[in-house]
Amino acid sequence: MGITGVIRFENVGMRYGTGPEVLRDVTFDLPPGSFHFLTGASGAGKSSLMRLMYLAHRPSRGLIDIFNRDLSTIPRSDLPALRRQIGVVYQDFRLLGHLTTFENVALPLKIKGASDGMIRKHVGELLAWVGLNDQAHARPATLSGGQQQRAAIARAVVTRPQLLLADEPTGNVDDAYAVRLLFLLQELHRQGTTVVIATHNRSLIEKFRHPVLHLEDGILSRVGEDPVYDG
Amino acid sequence: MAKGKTDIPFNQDPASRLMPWIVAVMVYIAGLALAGAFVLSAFADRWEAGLTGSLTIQIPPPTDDALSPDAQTKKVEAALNALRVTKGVVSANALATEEMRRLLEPWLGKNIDPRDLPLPSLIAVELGDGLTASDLDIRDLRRRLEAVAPGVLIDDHGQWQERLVAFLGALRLVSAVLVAIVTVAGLIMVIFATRGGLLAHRQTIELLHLFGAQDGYVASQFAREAMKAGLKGGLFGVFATAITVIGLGQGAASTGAVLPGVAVLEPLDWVVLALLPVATALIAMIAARITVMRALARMV
Repeated sequence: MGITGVIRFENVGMRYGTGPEVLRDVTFDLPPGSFHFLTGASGAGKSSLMRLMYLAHRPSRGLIDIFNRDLSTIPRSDLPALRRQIGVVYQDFRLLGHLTTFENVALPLKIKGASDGMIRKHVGELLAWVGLNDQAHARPATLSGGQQQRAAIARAVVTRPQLLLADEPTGNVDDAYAVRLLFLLQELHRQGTTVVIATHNRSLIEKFRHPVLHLEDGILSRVGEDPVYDG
Repeated sequence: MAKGKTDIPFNQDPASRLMPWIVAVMVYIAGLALAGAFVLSAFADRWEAGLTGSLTIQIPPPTDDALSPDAQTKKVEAALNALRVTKGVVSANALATEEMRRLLEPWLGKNIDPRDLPLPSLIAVELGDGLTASDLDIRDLRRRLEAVAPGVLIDDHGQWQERLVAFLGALRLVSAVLVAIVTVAGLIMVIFATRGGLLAHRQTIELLHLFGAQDGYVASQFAREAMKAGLKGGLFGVFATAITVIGLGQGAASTGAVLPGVAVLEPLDWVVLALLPVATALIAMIAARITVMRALARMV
């Protein structure tokens, strides 16, 4: 298998500490600009796979190639530059409670060293895009679940990442809202972002008909273009 | 983005909130130790300056009762004459009997009879500007004095001065050790508070890393916070030190001539004390940064 995609896994295994392997022999390749759903029952290893993809964890074996670089040979000091090309929407949003919505969304840009003017421009645009302009100065605790979700999405895409990973982004919202969220993410995908969404939501998968990566007990049992979800 | 707002919520961490107050106590102790060292140095310098330019000549009292007091007076006169022609001597004055009695009064009472307690005659010798006993030809002076007043003693205060300087040196060493101990204790405190902060804010730090933050970005936030705590605590500590030193100075001044100049610091001493908060802030900042950088290097 040649180096072609945004991210490529080859026989990857992962364990936490000295515990059992939570992922075994995972192999897949995400082409640039692709859109995938990541499915599987609770405990199947979706979040662990996501952690490997957003470089929060190192594999215990196998090869991960990200943006055409072999993770095993990347020095630790190069990881921040790679992470800046990955946007993540966490299942629990992980908004910082002491910062306002604006400051939370601006954080990746601030870390990247963007100027105040650029931060104001980009964050303003994104807050308008996700419909949170009027909540710019609100703290996360005062936002509804849906609003927090949108703030988390805005933060994930504010640096225009090449790869967007969303871990159960529709887990806390109703179906109608989940569809709206998916349209939002699909809009990003149309702009060239590679998207992976971990979800349980079967109706979304059927409606949006993107390829599925299906995990069962830490093993990737289905990889490919077939959008039919039988989990 | 709000200016000065950190990505890490340090104010939610009890160790961070407490740090300025612990630093203040440490700086107060270090400040007092330093002030003590300055006062002792000034004391030693003052005593040394008062004694180095002088000699005391002792002419033993007549051992033979048959000798008249005039004979002792003549010996003193002859010694004075010998001293006054000595190169480097500015003045030589014999202490009057009345003056000696006044000096001994606190110990021996008012009615001292010279027959009960024969006292030596004392001559206070002042040397020229910047001269010390070692600048004189003491051997020649002793020979000439011995010729007119056998048994004469020349005291350049050297022995007493050496003991005093050694004692003050020991006290200054104690002050320096105290400052060193407080500095090390402060460093350990900053390191532990920073480690506590790393643990308390682990999730936020992980999040910053996942957004692409370099270790230096995270470390600079801890360093800035430690610097602020060091500066704040340092200012409180030095303020408390200044109040204590000024209070002690006023207390010493109220004793009149007993403790002249005790606990009075020179302007340069105040400058050194005023720099303590800056030094504390710098040390705290560097310690926190190194601690965070070392801890983060172990993360993914």
